[in-house]
Formats: sequence, structure tokens, C-alpha cells
Amino acid sequence: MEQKEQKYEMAKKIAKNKVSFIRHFIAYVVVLIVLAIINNIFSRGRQWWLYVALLWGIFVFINFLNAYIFKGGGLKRLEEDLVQKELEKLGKEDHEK
Amino acid sequence: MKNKGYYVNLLGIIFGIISFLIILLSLTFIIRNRAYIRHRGFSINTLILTFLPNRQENLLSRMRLVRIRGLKRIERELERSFEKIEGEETVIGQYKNITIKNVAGHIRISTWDEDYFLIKYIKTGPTFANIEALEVEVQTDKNSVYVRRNTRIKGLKNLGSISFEVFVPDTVVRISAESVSGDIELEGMQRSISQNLKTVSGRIETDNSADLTTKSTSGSITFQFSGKNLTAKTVSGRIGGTLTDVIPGGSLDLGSVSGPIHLYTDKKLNAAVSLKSISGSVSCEHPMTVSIKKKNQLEGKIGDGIIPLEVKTTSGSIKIQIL
Repeated sequence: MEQKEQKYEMAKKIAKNKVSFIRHFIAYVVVLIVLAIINNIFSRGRQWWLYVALLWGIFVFINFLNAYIFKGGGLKRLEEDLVQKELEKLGKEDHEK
Repeated sequence: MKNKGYYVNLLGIIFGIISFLIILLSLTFIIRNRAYIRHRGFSINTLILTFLPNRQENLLSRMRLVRIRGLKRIERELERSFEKIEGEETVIGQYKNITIKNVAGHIRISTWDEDYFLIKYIKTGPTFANIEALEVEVQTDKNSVYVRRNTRIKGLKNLGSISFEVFVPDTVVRISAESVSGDIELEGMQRSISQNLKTVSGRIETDNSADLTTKSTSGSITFQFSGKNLTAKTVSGRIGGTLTDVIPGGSLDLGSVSGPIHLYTDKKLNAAVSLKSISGSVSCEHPMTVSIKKKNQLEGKIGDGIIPLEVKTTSGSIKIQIL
């Protein structure tokens, strides 16, 4: 029962991350369009909005990786794997003794 | 039939790919448009240089940083970046006047046999942004050519300078040149060319002139004059000039605060001379009819005394010699 609840929580978290990424992306694109327009109306020389696109884009992409590739548990899963490995190691040492 | 979740997933992946592409494109655009890379071409060195931390792209601080890091090749690259950007403009037409306005940098003007104007310039500055911001504006109207130095960077960041080398047809009648910190040199001038030359901290030199007006604050003024009206003023620079075949009907007015004034004139000079100094010495080699002679003042007539020659200084000496 507890495992089922855990899975549900996990699924909920993944879904939430995906929706949050889509919202984040839409906001990113809309703000960039506004900034690009402002940049090119008021100061046509330097395209400063590209710096915003680059820096914010990195965060958006991290959000995407978190939501779709690592599914909200990239580091957590790694941590769990490490704990499992350490447990196995300790088990082996106990067995040898 | 696929459910909504499938489309959300698909949309998310597409958005993810788009965000990655935006990052790549903006990064490419930023790198390619950095002034340094645009000027020197794309290479690993220029790529490293363009992202070195700096304040206002100050080349010297960048060089210091590079030295600390021991990047010799990049240091050499940076040193080379002090090099200038050269350019030239040609103006074809029977223009009689030319006006050159500069802020920082020398102006050198020569006459030549060709019937067009050639304006060569060298832009220099501590950073590429400074150099790129400098613009040479050449305009013409019915009789005149105007050459101006403009910059897109205003205020204290405006550190670039332009040196001009201008060739003008010998049929030109009037030359005006202004600079704030830079020398003004005129070479190969005809006696028929009137000149108006002004600078603040540079020297002024002209090898021949008709009517001449020169002003400098701290630079010296050297001229050869054969016209009607002469004005030469400086604050701390010296004035040295030769007056030959002066045309009657005008006036000769020279003045300085602390700089000496030394004039050479031909024997034919017919001038009503007035030499005044507050603390400097005054002397005239010409035989003259003296009206006032004091320690620091000399007034009288040389020859017929037709042309008024007035020379004033505060602490500089005044000397008139025969050629």
C-alpha cells in the first residue's frame, strides 16, 4: 500500500515537473520576444536580449532535463544506487567475517 | 487514440529541443558578434580572449590577467590588438574650402597636383569597442568639404583617437582644421590658401599661408605668412613665424601669456609696430621711428607704417628680427 502511495507521489511529481517545464518554456519565449522587440526599438546596436536568452535558456533546459530525462529523480536515484552499492559492500564484508 | 498525456510529453520534448537550440544560437550569435572576434577572426585564442572577465573591455586589465595566467600566445595576440584601423575617403569635385574637425589625434594636410581630395585616417584606441565606435563623416556642400570625427561612445568612455592625413588640390582657397588634443601640420601650402587652425594641446605648423588665424592653448605655433590678416594666439606655447610680402590693408595680431613670440620679417615691412609685454623683454631689429620705448614696451613705425602689427605677451619675450 505504502509502495503504491510512493509511486503515486512520484508520478504526481513527474507530471508536475512536466507541466511546470511547459509553463516555464512558454514564459521564456514570451519574455524573450518582448525583450527582443524592446532591444531593437530603443537600442539597435547591441543585442543584449541574447544574453538573457542564453542564461535563462540554460535554466529552462535544466528544467527540461529534470522533467523529461531524469524525471525528477536524477540525483535522488543516483543517491539510492550508491546506498544500495554501499549496503552490498557491507553485506559482503559481514559475510567474509 | 492517444490521450492528452502523450501530447503533453511530445510538446515538452519539442520545447526542450527548442530551448537547446535557442541556447546554441544565442551563444553562436554572441561569440560571432564580439568586437574582438569580428576583427581578428574566429580562433581558439580569440574565443578565450572574448570571454576573459574584464571591466569595460579594458585591454590593459585583460593583459594583466593574461600575464598572471601565463598565456603567452594570448598575450602576444592582445599586444597586436593595439594596432590601428586605417581607412580613406575620396572626394571628387571643384571644392574651394575644406574643414576638418577632430577631437583627439593629429591632422596633417598637404596640397597635391591631383584634382580630388584624399582623406586618409588611422583610428586607434585602447579597446576594439573604442576603435569601432569612431566614425569619420565626410560631407560636402556647394563649395566645401567637411570632415568630422564622430563617435557612438559618449563621455569618459570615449577613448579612441583618429589621425588624419589629408591631401587637397592646390586650387583650394581656404583650409580650416580643429582638434582638441593633437597637432595640426600643413605642408606644401600655396601662398593663396587662407587658413584657420585651432587646437588646445597640440602644436600648429604651416609652411605657407595667406590670411591666417591660429589658436592654441598649450602648443607652439609656427608659420610662414604672406597674406593680409594674421591672428596667432597661444597661452603657454611659443609663437615663431616668418612674415614675407605682407599685403597692406589688414592687420597682424599676435599674443601669448607665457610663451615667447619670435618673428622674422623681410626688410620691406611697412608696419606700425606695437610690442607690449608685462614682464618679458621686447626687441625689434628693424630701423624704426620710435614713439614709445619702455622696458617692456616698444611702439613705432617701420617704413611707412601702413600695416598694424600688434604683439602682446604677459611673461613671454617678444623679438622681431630681419630675415
